[in-house]
Amino acid sequence: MNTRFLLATCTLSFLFSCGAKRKSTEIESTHKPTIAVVNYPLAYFAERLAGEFATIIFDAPSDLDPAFWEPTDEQIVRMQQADLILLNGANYAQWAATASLPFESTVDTSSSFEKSFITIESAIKHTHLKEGAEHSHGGTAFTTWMDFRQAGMQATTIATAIGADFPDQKDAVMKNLAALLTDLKELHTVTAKVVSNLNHAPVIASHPSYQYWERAYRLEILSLLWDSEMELGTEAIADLKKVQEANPGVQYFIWDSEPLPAHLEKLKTMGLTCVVVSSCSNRPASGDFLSVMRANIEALAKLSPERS
Amino acid sequence: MRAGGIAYLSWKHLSYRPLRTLTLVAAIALTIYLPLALYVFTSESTRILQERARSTPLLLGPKGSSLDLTLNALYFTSQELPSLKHLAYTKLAKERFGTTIPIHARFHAKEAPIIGTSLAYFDARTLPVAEGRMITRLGDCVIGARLARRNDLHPGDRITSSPENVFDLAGVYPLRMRITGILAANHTPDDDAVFADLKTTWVIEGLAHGHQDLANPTAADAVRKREGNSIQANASVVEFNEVTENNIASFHFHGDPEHYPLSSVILIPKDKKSRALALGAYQGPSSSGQLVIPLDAVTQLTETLFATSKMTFAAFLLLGLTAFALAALVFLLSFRLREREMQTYAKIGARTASLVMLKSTEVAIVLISGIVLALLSAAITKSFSAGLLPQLLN
Repeated sequence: MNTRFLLATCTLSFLFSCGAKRKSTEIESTHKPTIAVVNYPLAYFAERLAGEFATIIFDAPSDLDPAFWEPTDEQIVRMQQADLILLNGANYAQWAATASLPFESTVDTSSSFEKSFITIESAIKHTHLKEGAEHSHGGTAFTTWMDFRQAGMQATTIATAIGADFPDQKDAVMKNLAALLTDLKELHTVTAKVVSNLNHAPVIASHPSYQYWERAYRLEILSLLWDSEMELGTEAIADLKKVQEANPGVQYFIWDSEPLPAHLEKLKTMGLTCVVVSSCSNRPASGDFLSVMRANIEALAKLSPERS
Repeated sequence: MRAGGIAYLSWKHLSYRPLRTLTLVAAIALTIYLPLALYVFTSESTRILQERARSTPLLLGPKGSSLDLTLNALYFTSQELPSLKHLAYTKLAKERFGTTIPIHARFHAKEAPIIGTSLAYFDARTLPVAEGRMITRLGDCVIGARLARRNDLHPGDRITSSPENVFDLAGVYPLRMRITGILAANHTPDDDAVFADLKTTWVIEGLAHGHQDLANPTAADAVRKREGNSIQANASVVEFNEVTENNIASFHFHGDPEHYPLSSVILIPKDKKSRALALGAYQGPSSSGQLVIPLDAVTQLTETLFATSKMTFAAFLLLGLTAFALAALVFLLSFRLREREMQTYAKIGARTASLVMLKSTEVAIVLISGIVLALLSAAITKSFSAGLLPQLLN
């Protein structure tokens, strides 16, 4: 009786241990790598490159510009645990400068072209008596991906980092990179063509977020500090009139997101045609980065004198 | 005379003169304990030193004493060498020899060392957070288990950095740090330390700070000069001594971050080849720093420790022999004084063997008590030596 009991116990323990071993192996093999990002363009690039085997963490709320998003302590802890953290660089997401992120797994995606960053001149500078040296608390344009060649460089940096972290996925990632670069190259070529049809005439932008786009596609953009949902009071209109007076003949007004219909009407009476060119810094309600950029191009193409 | 009777008479005699008995026991215990404790402490110290050194394969630091560098990085002793530039760390990290962990061990919060490092340190030392959570931002810290217990500190409490020099009135403000977690105990100097992000130690050093917005009209009194977009502050500008959700955005760094100071960098090579390449890269006289093997530096120290302890051991041996000779003399004199007592025992029928047994039992009780006391003390010393070592090093 005792021998039988002992035998049965041993068999059960063996079977249980085998099951437990299999289960732990399954857990190990099903562990999905995580990649944390700070804005939607990076999330899109990461999804295109590694979406098949990795989970992309992008926690910024949909109603906020991720550039000015402040993650909570819990969100930072989640990022710390990610296999890879992708920063935009160019002073984007300034919280990252004061956050404790693991150096080894943090990648500055724009470091390869940091020498060509655009500095915003209007940033307030100050000095302290102790140090004497003048410094500013900001002042770098950060919508780097709006120049699609730069976006390609960011995507390449991401692919290299993913390939180094997950060598077994390197070939697939590089294949995905080639497809992504083809799409970005197409965006660049078409944007350059469409914008050149505008004869490089100056345009007014609602927000100063087009610096790299302006430089890449040789535009002259006069920026205001407007929001698409703000009320256009006398002060705002006075600012716009000042710009119009200084630049006679300016015809187009660029919004970062769809403005209120009343704004379209108001600007039409002032002789301005509105167009939405979204920087797509946050996840769009529908479509993706590529479709939003194609919609931008389509909207710009409608403006070109040849089409009209 | 029966054995029980011999034991009874011996005990009665020893307890009749307690001071003499205790003095003898203490003298014998001390004679045995001192060389034993020395041996226990040196061998335990060697084990502890080598164990921690083994978990720190390579160490990059400024040129100078490799032992000072190693003790500062491993035991957070005062920083004797000049600082290493942050550039040295970024350069080493870019080489991708393995995991690189910066260490900035210069400041203190009362007696506890404040260690500026990266999150990789906690993985390398197997230091999980036992209570609370990991640091997330500037001004956060996690503290060692022993420090938390000693000072009754918990997540959410604050700990303030101590000024380096109390007479430096114009020096850097102490920084109130938010304790976000208590680390699990690992019975090393980590248990007594405060760990913060490297950037937080730069705030303590005065290289980064946060202050009221000078462009804001409420800060008009703090503005000395305003020229276009440039504002020069006067001495009354309010600097923040604690990083909070409301003021964190105002914290900024001055100067070139590449020149920011570090004490050392731990390098954990990913393989043997990387280790050899790293060692080769820092061998030339033109290299800005030195890459040391902490185990070698610690072995040198333990060898010195052993050489010194051997000499001390010999001295203790001589002292021990003298002490035993004196104890023997005390016993002989005591037996001579008790000659009449022994004659009485003989007259009432005690045999000579029983009398020898009586004297031997007394000596044995004293000797055994002394040995037991010495062994107990040595065991206590062993358990304390892990905590004692960092204190002695500091």
